Amino acid sequence: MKGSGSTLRAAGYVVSRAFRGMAQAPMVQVLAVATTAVCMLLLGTVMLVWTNAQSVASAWGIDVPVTVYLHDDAPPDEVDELTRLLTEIPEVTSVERITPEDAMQRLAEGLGGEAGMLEGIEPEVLPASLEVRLEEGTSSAFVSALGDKVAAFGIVEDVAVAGSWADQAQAMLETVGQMALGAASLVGFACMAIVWSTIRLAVYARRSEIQILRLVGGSTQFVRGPFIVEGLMQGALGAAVAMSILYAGFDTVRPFLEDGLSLLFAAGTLRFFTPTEICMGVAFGAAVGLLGSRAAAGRYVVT
Amino acid sequence: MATMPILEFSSVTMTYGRGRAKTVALRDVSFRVPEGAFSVLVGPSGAGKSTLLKLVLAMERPDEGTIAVADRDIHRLRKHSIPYLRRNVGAVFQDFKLLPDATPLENVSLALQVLGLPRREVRARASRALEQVELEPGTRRAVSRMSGGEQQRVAIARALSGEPAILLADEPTGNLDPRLSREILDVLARINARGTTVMLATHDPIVRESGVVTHELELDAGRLVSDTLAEAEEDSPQPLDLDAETAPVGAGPLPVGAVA
Repeated sequence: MKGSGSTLRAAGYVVSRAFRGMAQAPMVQVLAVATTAVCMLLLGTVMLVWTNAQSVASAWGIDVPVTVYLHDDAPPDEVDELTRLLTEIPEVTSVERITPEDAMQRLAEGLGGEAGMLEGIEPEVLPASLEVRLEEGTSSAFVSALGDKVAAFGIVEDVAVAGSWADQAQAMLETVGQMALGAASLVGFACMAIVWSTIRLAVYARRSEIQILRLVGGSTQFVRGPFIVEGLMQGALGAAVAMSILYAGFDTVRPFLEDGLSLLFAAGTLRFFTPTEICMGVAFGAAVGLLGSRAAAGRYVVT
Repeated sequence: MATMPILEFSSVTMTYGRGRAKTVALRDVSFRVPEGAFSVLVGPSGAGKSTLLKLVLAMERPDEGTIAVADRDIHRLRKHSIPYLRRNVGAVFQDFKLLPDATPLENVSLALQVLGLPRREVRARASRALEQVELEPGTRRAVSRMSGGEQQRVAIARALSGEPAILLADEPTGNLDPRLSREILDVLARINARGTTVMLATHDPIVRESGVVTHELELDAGRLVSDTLAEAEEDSPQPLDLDAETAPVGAGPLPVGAVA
């Protein structure tokens, strides 16, 4: 018990020293947080565009090259047989069965606030379907031929095949996705560099204290801890500020986008990050800050 | 009965740099400091006094030889154990090494916070350490506004607060005038009288003339040229070895019946 008590007290010292350190140079902290926030804002914008583009694409069915609509009275064993035959095709990566209830739920989600319109409508008005996903790079000719063959089955009412425009939209979506990944890496490094230089300044400013702590027997964690906490706080605060600015901007722009591009967003509404995604963003900022500060303090703050 | 050594150097050699830039700071140095001693390390600048103290604090590693503090070879310690060694070896420096904007109590408390002690105990022990060096624990003055002598007392209090087995002082009077030097020496003498071993590196003649020193080591160009304790042991008469097998010829016990 005594050991855990002293560890807690040491942790308390580390955190309070980190806050005092930040208070000693407030302008440096503000600059570091602001610069980190700008970088994170860039990343957040790209991620938000990507997230929304994905949900719009999904609502438009761009991500499903072949949708097979089934007759209401299609016998289950024949549906199973068709599913099996489709699954056996090497180019097919997945076949998902969508019941009328699933389709109704998707429609309700797509309508968002207007979902009340569907009240009293039975799910059975929507057909059951099979969503067929294909390997990347499958040619449009193959997709059309597959559509034609499947349409010949008696249980099939209709087949919807995404056209070349869907391929282009999918390719664009992938490019945005790659941009988001690239931006994440760049922003990660930029934030790390910002935190690294701020912590190096702090290490330099507090070098006498570091020397004293080492002399009186401060462990590496005890001496290095405040700098690590400081970097972690800078990263997390920067990400939180970026999220707040992004939310304010998104909230302002959303009505204009939804009104102006109503056709594009008819099947789905624009959305901000979920609370989990926001937490992940702040955690990303904290992790980047931690890595930056660890690199800055690591070499100079050792026993 | 001989006193246990608290510090023992055995054939210690220490060099700085490599190749042509290589400088031998200590060369084959061996000595013992008994528990409770007031040892003084003398010698000209560059003799190796500070290097020797740094070795005891594990701030440097010897190239050869062993250094034992309370019978433990300190350079065999793992890296994470070094802070624990430093908590048992108090250190005082010529430039005080204090936080200039902090009060004496805050400076001393820092060494105790490292130990993870409760706040109340930190305060009590820091106050006690300051009282030992005759400083007022409640003062709100920053140490940068104190005299050199007072600052050195704060540094000594900080070194003492952890109740170390040995107190090292590197030129503690180097920045002080003769009056303040005597004051600091009196403080160190009182600490030593309470049982703490003191090892002091200096070329201040006041220290050597003070009469408090029980053991003097003299270094010159990295070599130990004089060790008063070792010399005294050599000069003292050796006890007679009455073992017949190992005793030198003519020194054995008298044969039974020879005096009959």
